[in-house]
Amino acid sequence: MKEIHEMTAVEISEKIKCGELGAEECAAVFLDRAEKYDGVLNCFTYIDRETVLKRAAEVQKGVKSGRYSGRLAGAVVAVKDNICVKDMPASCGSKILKNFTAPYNATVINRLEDEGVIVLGKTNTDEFAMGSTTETSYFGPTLNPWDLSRVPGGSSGGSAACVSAGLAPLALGTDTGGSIRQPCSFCGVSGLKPTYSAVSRFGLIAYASSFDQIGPIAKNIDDCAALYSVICGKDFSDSTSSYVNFDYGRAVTPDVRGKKIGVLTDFSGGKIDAGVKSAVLKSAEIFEELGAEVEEISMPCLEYCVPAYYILACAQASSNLARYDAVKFGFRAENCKSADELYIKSRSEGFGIEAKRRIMLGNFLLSAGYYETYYKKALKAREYIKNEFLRIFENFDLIITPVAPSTAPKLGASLKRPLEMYLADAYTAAVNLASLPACSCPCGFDPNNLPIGFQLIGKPFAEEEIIGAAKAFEEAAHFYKNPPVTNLSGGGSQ
Amino acid sequence: MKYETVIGLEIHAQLSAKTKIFCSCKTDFGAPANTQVCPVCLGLPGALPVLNRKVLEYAVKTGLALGCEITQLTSFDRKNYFYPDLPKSYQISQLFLPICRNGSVEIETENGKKRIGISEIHMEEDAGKLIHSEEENLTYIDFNRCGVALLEIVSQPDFTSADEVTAYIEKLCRILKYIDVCDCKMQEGSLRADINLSVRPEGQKELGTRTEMKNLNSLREIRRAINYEANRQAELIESGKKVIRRTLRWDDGKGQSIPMRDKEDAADYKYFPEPDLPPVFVSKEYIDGIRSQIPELPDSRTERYVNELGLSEYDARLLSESVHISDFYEKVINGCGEYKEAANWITGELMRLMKLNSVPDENIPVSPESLVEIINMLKAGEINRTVAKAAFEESFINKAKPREYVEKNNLKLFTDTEKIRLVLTKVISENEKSVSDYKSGKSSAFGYITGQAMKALNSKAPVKEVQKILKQLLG
Amino acid sequence: MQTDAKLIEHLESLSKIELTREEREFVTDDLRQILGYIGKLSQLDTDGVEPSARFALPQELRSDDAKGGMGSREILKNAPAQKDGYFTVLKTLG
Repeated sequence: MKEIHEMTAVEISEKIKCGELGAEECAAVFLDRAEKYDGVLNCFTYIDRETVLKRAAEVQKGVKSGRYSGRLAGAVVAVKDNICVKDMPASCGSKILKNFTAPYNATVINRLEDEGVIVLGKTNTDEFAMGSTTETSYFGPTLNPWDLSRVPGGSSGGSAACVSAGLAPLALGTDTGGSIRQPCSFCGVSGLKPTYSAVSRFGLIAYASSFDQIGPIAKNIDDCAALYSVICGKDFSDSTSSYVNFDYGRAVTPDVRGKKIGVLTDFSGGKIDAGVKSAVLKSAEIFEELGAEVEEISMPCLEYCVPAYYILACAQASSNLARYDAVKFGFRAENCKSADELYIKSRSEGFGIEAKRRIMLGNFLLSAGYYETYYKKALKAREYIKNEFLRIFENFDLIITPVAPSTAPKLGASLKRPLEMYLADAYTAAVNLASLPACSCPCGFDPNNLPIGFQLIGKPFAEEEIIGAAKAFEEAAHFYKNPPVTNLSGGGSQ
Repeated sequence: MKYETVIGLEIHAQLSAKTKIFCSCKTDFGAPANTQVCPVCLGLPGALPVLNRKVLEYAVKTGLALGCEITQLTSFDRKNYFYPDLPKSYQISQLFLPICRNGSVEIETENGKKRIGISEIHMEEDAGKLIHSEEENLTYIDFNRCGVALLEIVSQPDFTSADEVTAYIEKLCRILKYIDVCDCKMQEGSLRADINLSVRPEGQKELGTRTEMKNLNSLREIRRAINYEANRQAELIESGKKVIRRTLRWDDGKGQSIPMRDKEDAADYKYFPEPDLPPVFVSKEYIDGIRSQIPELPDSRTERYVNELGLSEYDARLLSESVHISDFYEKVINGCGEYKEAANWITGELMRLMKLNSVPDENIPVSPESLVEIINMLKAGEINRTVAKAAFEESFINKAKPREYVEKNNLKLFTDTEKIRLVLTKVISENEKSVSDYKSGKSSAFGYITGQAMKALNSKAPVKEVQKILKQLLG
Repeated sequence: MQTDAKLIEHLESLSKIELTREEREFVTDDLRQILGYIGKLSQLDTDGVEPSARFALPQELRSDDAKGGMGSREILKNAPAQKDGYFTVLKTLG
């Protein structure tokens, strides 16, 4: 029989509901594993054993009484540290929020609690989700469970790595320009970036408001679908949220026969590793064998995605991060002689360099005289790119692309070449620009035995269609594997 | 050299919605510090704004009342600057697509009538309140006011004097109160003015360099500030110096405008569309629905009262000043048809009693039906003016029904001549001396007899009627 | 666009951030590269592209009904400095 940490969340919940396993027992397994391995991996920024076990006992009662009967009742979920969970820290990987305790729940957390899902702890992230390596966190980098000398990707690196290493069966990540899909790809797990507006952002600490989306990370697409079905839908606390019609059962029915899939692996100005390219092309062949019609497509406008994305994201970030002024909450620098000095010192000491550079870039882009050249132009480019995608979707049902042009880089390698790091976001950021849904699925390994992932992009609100296709792929070619966590120092043989 | 002053106004009117513009916190004035706050208005990480439907409604209503065009697709923008009273370090406001544009208000001063243009009206959130403590070198922050809905009403630079500015503000207040969107209590800060002012030598076409004085909240202060600042600028130019474009604070104690040091480098507000709020589309039907809720406005009422009801300009204005008074008047005249009589009662007795008892206009304690009853009784000669006034006061203070009051206290006049004749016959027989004096030509005796007669009648008969009968009886 | 010291200083002032010397060198260099890179967006022809019309209707907005706030104790829990129910900062105006 599978160990508990090898099971999917849906499997764990089934066993809890039929009495085969207890919610506390399951939660304890993950707490133990986190204790054992997280000293090295650094996936979590906060975990409190007592709170988790107390909640697990409540949930267990609720399962018995029939209060919690959903697909994920009793399962634990790790939550990225930019999502507010009442009475837990919400630090966003930043010194400026290191002492901040959320006084309220994000809407997604309320929905999970109503479902009897247990919050295990908060996971590491690039500072304010700005980055694609989880190295910009104030709490130090998270390591990739596949190779401890490498990054797990980011910014949801803590969430992806903890699922990969079996420290949690499920996690919530957030995706602004690829921050769910890219770490999933680097860690060999599955993730879904929902259509913009499908999941409430209330309680998600904003990086770039018009892109940010919360989404699920899990071992397989089924679990992603199950978690998504709980968190999606209209929320009156988020004016930008939408009504969503999503059916879990329909979604996880394998379905790709007769679908038209466009394959996109190249674009002007982009570089791609041969191993990644061939894994994605091989996946396209698998889809073809499953009965899909596959055709290569090109999208010349892809090279404009990163510029447009960075302009909009940094400009919004500069405004979103202006509230960290040491007045109402957060880090306050000492020995200031005026309110202005208080702002400057607190912000200078509280933010890391990545946040600072994006704030400053954003301030430049919005400053007097530049709005039209940059922000307004980027808004138009966004619309243009959205239209290009919709044009392609007139003839195709889905688009398959690499998630990232390479597998996980070595620690420290990316930050030295920021422009290259930004460029690597092209495939994923394009999807955020167009507000589309996309999932990331493992689809092979490179010669260094590092996971590779593809992303499947769908039409607006076509999450069911994406998941159905991913499910068909998963059944035909299962690339999910346990990473070599057993080699971690402190970890014994399992 | 003579100088001409050019003034533009930005009026901030706090809307009288029950909750804030983007969250469900209460807006009560004077609550203990930081008790009407939540994650949204405090700008806590992760919180998001949701627009209050009432605020949109009030904004459209105001726009229509001020003759504006309504922007059908309206949206919000962020105005970014750092200040301790601004929790998100940006204010959600409207720059690109404000809800109303191109309206106007007619004002009247000693120099006659004049139309003041309104370039736009936008919705925005108020900031918190700072209390500075000199001795502790501390600023205390109360965020209760933060997020309260404001309309910023931006005028064209059409004013040339403090008189015009105060006339405009008074007019605006009357209208806002009429349509019930703002209580306009300047002393509570629910109406505040920013004054943009420049001067130029008379005859010069181009405008001078302007300054902006922020947050003035009394007409007296506004008047003083305008006169001071206009003089200051003229003197600067006169002595060959230049006016510096900057933001000022009016210090009423010192009677001076003082530069605001902190905000000077924040002139770049880095506006961009608020990504947390989708634009709002208001349909023609929606706008028409709101239009139909707007009552007839004071100017139109004044004109109608003069032209159609024959009231004096003075009375017509007085009656139109408040929508509650004016509505009361209209109900009374609908009930009795006595335009002037009703106007006299309201501008006289009613207003006197309201003022005496400090009753606000919206709480007139007496019903229009009661006044109608009183006027009708007077008209029918059932009561005299003294009794009518007493009955009115009783209705006002003790909610008495006038007719019941008059009857219960036996205050009705004798309308039966036979009964009066009987009483008078008795009076004549009891005052033989005076009667013979009268008959012998001593006319002053008649006054005495009348007095005795009125006494016997308890003053409940019209004097004229009594005298008429007396003369008949005395032959 | 010149990313000279003056611009960086201006951006620091707009951002209320003061960079260390190393940070300033790094950001200056970075900004030059990034601005050069995003400048290529001007090559994309976006004439005639209209923003999409996702909007809300009045009836979808929040009704004007009050809900209790959080209570000043809860609100002040995260305050770096407070006194008598107020947040406090060093005196702002001179």
